[in-house]
Amino acid sequence: MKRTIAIVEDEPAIRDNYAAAFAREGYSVRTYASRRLALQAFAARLPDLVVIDISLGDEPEGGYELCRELRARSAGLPIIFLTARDSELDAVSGLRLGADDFLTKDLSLAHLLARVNALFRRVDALTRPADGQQVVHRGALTLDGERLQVLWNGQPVLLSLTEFWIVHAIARHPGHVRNRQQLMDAANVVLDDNTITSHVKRIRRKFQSVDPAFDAVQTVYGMGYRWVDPAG
Amino acid sequence: MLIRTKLLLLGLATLALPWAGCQYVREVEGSLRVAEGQSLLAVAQTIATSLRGRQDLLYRGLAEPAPALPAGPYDLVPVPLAAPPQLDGRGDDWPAAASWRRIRGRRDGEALELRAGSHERYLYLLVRAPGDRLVLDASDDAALDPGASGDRLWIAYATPEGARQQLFVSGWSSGTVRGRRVATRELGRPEFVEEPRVQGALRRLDGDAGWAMELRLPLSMLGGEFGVLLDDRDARGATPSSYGSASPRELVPRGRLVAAAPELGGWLAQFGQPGVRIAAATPQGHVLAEANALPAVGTEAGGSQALLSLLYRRFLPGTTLAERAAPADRGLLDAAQAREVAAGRGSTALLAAPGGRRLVISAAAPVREAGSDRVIAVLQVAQTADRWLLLRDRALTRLLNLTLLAVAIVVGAALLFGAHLALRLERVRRASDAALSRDGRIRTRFPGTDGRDELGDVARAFAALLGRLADYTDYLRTLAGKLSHEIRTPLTIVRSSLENLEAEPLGDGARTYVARAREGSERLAAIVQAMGAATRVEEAIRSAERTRFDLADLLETATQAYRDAFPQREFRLEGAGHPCELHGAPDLVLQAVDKLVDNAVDFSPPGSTIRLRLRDAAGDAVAIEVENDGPPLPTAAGPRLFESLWQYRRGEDERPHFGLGLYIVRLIAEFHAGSARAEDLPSPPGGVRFTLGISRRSTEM
Repeated sequence: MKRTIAIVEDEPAIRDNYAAAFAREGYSVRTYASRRLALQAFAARLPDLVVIDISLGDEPEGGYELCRELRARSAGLPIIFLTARDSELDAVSGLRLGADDFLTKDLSLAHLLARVNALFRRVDALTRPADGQQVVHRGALTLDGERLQVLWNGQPVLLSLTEFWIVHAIARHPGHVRNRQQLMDAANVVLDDNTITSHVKRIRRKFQSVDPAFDAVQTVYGMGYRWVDPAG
Repeated sequence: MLIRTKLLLLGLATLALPWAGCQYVREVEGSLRVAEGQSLLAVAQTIATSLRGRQDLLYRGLAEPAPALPAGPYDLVPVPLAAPPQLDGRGDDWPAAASWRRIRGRRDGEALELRAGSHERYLYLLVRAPGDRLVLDASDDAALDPGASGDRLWIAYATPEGARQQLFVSGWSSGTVRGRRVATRELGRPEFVEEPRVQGALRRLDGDAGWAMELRLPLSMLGGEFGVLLDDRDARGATPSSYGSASPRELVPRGRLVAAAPELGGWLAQFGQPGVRIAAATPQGHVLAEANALPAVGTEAGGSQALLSLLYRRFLPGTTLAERAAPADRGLLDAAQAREVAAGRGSTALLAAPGGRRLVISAAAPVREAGSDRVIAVLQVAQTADRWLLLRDRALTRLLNLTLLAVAIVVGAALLFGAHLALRLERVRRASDAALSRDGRIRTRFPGTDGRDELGDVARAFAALLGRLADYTDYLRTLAGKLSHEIRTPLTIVRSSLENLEAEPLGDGARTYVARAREGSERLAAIVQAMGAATRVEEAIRSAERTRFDLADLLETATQAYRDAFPQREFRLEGAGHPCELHGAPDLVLQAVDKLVDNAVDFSPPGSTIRLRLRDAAGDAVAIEVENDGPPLPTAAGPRLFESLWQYRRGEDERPHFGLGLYIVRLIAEFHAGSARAEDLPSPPGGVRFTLGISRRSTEM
């Protein structure tokens, strides 16, 4: 059965372009120009994944509203925020509402598709019993590459997709410095230095909310970041 | 001109107040004077009216209406003397300026000078013959011997009964003189009779410069006609040269004695009041008699008041109001007043008493002949103006004191106000000077905006203007970021469309164009990215966290990374030998150093050395210097190098340069309470040095 992707986007050209790209990948695509139309349709049936633009028509933050309502109805529905704005505030509030990822619109279609695929893989993995193949253990850290899940001391750390991939990239080889370019490649994203920095900062904060003593992500000035396993 | 000075000048304009006050006081004084003059004149007219037709009371021996009045040249009008003079021929006890009558002889240098005065019942004569050698009689008896007699003075007069008489006075030694009257014996033979009623003294003038004689005659023996004649001999017994106011041959008086009737003084005295002088005078102004009770000069109110008023009078000219000086001769009335009265009009005048600052108001009225309008005498009533002079002085002094106080208050207030105003203006000026900082920031806080006057308005207008200006610069500053957001959506349309297009079956030609369009859109995306970078950096800085870190360690690892990243350049790090602990945001510091190094790499030739230096001075200031061997800075750049979107270079490379790098450096320096500088190094070897100054203990802003 084809997976259904809903695109809620007020800009028709972008909406249709994205729809075309997803359709080409074999997804069933439904598009909505406003929050109201999307909610009406979702009331009947939820899609498998939702791509939401933050500002919808005359509702500058209509995307957040929609995300909250969707999350209330389904905890597991993958939600991707798309926006022309890339300021940190937007990112933080978007993720607090429980979006799985947060992307700027200048992301290429290929990268967008990679994320969509990854999220679907995670959905699939969650429905299967864990085979442990993609699971990496680094001391207190448990990385599930299939479910895109991170555990620290057995407790889940809720990371966005980009954050997960960054953690994944540096924690796979503890002690090795990953520069920014490598991190961007791993995260399927093109970001500038400051955005990488704030992603790393956010990752640290999320781990610290689980374990205040967390200090495993180290900055190597001028080069990048590395994972320091406190146990070894 | 300073506002303070202007206000001071304005305050000085209040000096017009005392001037106006003085004008007012003078006007009041003038009208007082007129009123006083009028009342004095009324008194004078009353007295004059009661004297109408009373020649008998006025003039001795001139009962007949005197047709010769006004007086002829030989008429003698004795001055009323305050005290009887000593008969010593000196004349120093006569009123100083009593006028002399001078009668010339025929020969050169011959002259007889004559003064007459009256006191009580006596007529006093002072006769002087300056330049004439005194020839005395040989002896007392020799006076009667024409062959042995010397100079003699004849007096020809009419008795009160009208009979003509002659007597002569001579002396045989300096000192006492003797008078001898001519008595007619039978057959017309004259005989000289001793005349004891004539007393006198003869005195040779000092240095033999002539002689003087002082005589006293009882007025009772004299009538209306009077003349003197000098028989001037050069030697005893010589033929005399005769001259005087009597005819030399017949010894008939040619002039008259115009003297007051004996009762006049007493009659006038009955009108006397303290402080008032009442005088009767001839129409020519010669005083006949007076009842004088003017207070003596010199009763001046002493003390500081007088000193002050003296001072004021110095600076306020015209407070001396006298029309003219009173005649120095007490025997004369003011000539102008006498003339006016002689013409039949009453007159008042304000006169300055001689020698003093005292003022006298004099009112004079004509005394007329009975039944005609002819003026036969002048009656003067005078009073000192001291009373209201004092009043005026007091008023003036008070007025001046008060107005000076007012002026001082006004000037002081003006000065204070001016200083206050100037201070506020200065604050506004300084604030407006400092409103635009050197790095282009606008301070919108403006002092003095709570003032409720026009200056407050100005300050508020400035504050509003600065606010708008700040908004506008803010708008300009964030314009790039906003634009990048706006452009992103259409750019996304273009890029996603191109990506979709690539998935479509296309010819080779079409693919080429798609590839070019993609390339263009990538570049556009890079530009948009760069344009939004400033905003993102500002946001990143706003949310940056401070930790303790070792700057030396950071530079060490970073330099290592630069060596890897830019193999074409040599990197040398100096001054990082020992730890340099800082409290700040290491990510940001590193980012700033990255930008400086990027910049240095861009501008230095391949193979050259880029020098990084950590200057860890004592105190708070720490500096990171990055030097390269590139060309000098553009002279026009200056501090604008560190401004947002300052595009100062046009490289051949593909990357768009928006000058953001150095702006970010500046933002980071400011976050660390420091500053960013750029300077050319001295040539040779030349090069450019960028300095990032940061404070060791920058705190949260």
